[in-house]
Amino acid sequence: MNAKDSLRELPWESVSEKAPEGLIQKVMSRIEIEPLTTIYRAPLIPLKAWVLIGAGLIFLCLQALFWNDVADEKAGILTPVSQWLENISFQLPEFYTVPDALWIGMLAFGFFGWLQLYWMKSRLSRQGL
Amino acid sequence: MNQLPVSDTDLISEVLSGRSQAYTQLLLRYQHMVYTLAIRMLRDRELAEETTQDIFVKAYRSLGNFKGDSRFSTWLYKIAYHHALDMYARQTRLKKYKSSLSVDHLGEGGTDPTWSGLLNRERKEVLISALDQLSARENSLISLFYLQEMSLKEISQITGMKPPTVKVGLFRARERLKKMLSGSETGSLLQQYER
Repeated sequence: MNAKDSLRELPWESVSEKAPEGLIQKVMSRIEIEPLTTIYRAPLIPLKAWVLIGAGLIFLCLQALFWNDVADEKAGILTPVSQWLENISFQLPEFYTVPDALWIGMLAFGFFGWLQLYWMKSRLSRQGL
Repeated sequence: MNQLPVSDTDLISEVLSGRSQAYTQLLLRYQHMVYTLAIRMLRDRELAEETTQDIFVKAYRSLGNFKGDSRFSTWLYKIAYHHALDMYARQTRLKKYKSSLSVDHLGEGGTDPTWSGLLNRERKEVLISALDQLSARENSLISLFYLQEMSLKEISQITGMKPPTVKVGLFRARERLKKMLSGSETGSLLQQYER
């Protein structure tokens, strides 16, 4: 604000309001009904749901890596689950065989996860919680 | 024997350790400030009282989340500002503040055109009447800056606006307030002061 702020000269203290009589008693009676305890807020996404989501993702990853026709080019058939271990390969080109849909899915999942956390954080922060 | 005033932080610790009566001290300290902000934003005494109660109950429940990285008053104001803003938004119809004095009558002020002379009832009503024409957001900015004498940084923390946004908002609110007061005795005194 500028150095010569004429509004500062207004009688601001005169527009300060006095809280009504009995306000403290009213607040305290409301507080005493609900004593302060650590309020447990259930998470929006429970742990079980996160486990399921995680398991689903892992399944998708495994399926994409070991159970797609690209992974077994020579045979030209789907690799059965029983042959998973045989198909494990750490050769770099294997990673390029992961379908684009998986990458897009993972990126989308990550983006929406981040978006949800960001939104929740800003909302709770705005409420002073 | 004079006792040293207990700090807000000590009172909060007492409340959190189960002595809820210590909260009365915090209420005593901040009830007028919070009520003033609520009334300036909502312009309705009953609603402001109810809102002030809600704010203190909400603050009490969230006391465990107070990290102490800002002043307690800033933290409390943050809750108060957002709660009052929510209440304002919820109101479908605002009751109009019925001031006995309209801005048009301002020329009929007292005979003592000094700054100390502004501290009479009529001039107070002039100022309240002008403030009531500002929006809830502008009113809150003006109240926090002039009435509570908070810095732009603190107002920014309370409102969640960026400091330049606060500055622009305050500038606009000040200009509007000056315009509303112009033509009144208060306004002419402001002009004299600016010269």
